[in-house]
Amino acid sequence: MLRILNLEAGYGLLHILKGISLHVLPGEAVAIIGANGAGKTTLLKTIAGILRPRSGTVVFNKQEIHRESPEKIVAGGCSLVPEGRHIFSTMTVKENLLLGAYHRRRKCTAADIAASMEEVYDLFGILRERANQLGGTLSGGQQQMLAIGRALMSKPKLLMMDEPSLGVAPLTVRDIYKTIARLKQNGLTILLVEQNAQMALAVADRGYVFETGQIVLEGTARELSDNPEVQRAYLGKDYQKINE
Amino acid sequence: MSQTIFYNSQCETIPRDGLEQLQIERLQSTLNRVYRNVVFYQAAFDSHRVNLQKLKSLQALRDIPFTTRQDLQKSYPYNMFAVPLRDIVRIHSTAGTAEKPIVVGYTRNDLRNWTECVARLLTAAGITEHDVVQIALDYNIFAGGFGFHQGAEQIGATVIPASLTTSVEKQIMIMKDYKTTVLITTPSHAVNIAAGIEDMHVHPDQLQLKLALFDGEPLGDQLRRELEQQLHIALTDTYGLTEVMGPGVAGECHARQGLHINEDHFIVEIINPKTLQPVKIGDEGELVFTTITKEGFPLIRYRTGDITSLNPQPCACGRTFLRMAKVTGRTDDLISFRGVGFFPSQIEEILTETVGQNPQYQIILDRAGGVDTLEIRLEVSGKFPSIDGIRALETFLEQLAKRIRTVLDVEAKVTFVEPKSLQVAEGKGRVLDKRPGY
Repeated sequence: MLRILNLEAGYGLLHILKGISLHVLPGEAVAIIGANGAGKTTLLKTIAGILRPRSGTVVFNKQEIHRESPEKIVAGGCSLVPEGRHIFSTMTVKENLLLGAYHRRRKCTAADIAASMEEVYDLFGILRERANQLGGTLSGGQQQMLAIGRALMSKPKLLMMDEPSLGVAPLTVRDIYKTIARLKQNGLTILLVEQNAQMALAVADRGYVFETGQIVLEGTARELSDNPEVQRAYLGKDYQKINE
Repeated sequence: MSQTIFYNSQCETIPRDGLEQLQIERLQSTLNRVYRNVVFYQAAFDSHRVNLQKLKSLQALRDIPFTTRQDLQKSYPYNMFAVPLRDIVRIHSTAGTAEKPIVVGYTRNDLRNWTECVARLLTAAGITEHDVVQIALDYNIFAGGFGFHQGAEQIGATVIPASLTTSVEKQIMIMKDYKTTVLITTPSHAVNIAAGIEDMHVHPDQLQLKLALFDGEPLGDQLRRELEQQLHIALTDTYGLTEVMGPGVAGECHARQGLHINEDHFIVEIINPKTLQPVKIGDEGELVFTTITKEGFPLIRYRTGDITSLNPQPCACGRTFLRMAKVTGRTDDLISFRGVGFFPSQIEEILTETVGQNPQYQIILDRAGGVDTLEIRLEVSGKFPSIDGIRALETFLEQLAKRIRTVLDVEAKVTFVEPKSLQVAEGKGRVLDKRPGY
């Protein structure tokens, strides 16, 4: 579904991604874990077309997309739930969701879009209750749900999520991850960036570990969870160090 | 042809372009990791001005320096490990103490991958959970016994860890009474068993045996035919070496047209051992491995010293992995003896430390009653410690043999010969290999 080879990207003089290669198979959930500043968000931005790569290729559904504009990439079936949610706070929940289906406005009937919205409401019941409330008045977790719902409105084949647990109450994080697991069960392909490695590896099939713009480890979620290095660095199992 | 059964069909039949993507991803992450964690690789890459960010294809692997057996020996014991020792859950090693053995560490994930690799080749050989697998290999610091054991358990077969210390009679008794269907052993031990069956008047048809897998020594074509006839079974060859993983690197499928290499775990190259340049695919040369999933003991472009060739043609079994031909020789003088590898120089070192400089000796390998034998003929010279009487002489020879056993884990017979009776030149003439098939 997604195949990235030797991707390099950055901001101005800052060289962030230093030759990243990874792939996501159809129906798979892949987690990218790593510390702050490792380049995880940069990767998603580059795939989404917000950032231009310096070199390397991004192939999505057998088409090179690394020179495409973000709106074309969304129309092609690759949607991003950005870090910090970026919902339109002065618009209602319903309007936010409708905007997610913007690229479908000429291709689909109103009934299709209404059906999509129903699906989102089924997934996140709270959004149905708050359909006419302004986005900005929602809690952090509800905003995250709205951001995911908005991305789903574009009918993506690949859903990219950037830190869906950030700034969300722990209980709500669990709900969000349950939904992610459900989306995966329904056949959606997911690329997930997380600092909360435990959550991410619980839902993912495979994962990649980023360190300063490079991949230093890859493997199945089970392999990564069992890797002592990952446990120490990202799963908080560092208690042994005290004794040493 | 019967339908192929796979252990992991998704991996074993992966399309070549998907495999290439997987290999480059795993290669890049392995290189990034070894550069950060292993001093040897950091120094080697820096001195060859390797820029890992510029490594963009599998072909670019050619710009990376080789790793040799000597490099690994210099790193004795733990300097090549890419993880702290507390993350290592198993250690195996190659033979030798004087010339340093190579110590290999496995993390939990390494063990899991190793088990999977062995399970794949056992399945490819036709073994299922209905089989009773008798493993007549050493369960010790060498990787063979444990490697096969894990894999056979993984596929759910009934595993009998008979080991090599069990006598031939007992092996045959187990085979007959426990209804063994698969025998995993070394070729020389299989010859013993075949001879034993004859001695004990057991007809091969009284056994349930249908398949044997070999490890440790190269399997000659003639020996293969003989054993297949004597034991009424099919033989399957496997390839593996402790440095790279142990058994599980490659194995034959039911087509028996070469050994499939587990390419999602290893990148394989064939080079010309003189020019060190890659040879044309299909040509013979030295086998070079890069491990791409190992955490504890990753190897980058490791020169195995084994001579073979690769076959890129698709196989009838449906596996997309390349096949390697049987190993036809060595680039060095490593002697493979009853599943243990050692160098003549290691023998020389032991002789030098007991009898003084420049010992005149010859190593004679033969096969008697199906068993590999090792004899070391040593010329008597004036430099020897004074030995008076037959008794003292025997003790001396025994001690020498014991020393060889301690250091190299091989049984040797040491004999004295008249001064100047061995007309051996330096180097290869020192080793006389009379074993059939060598």
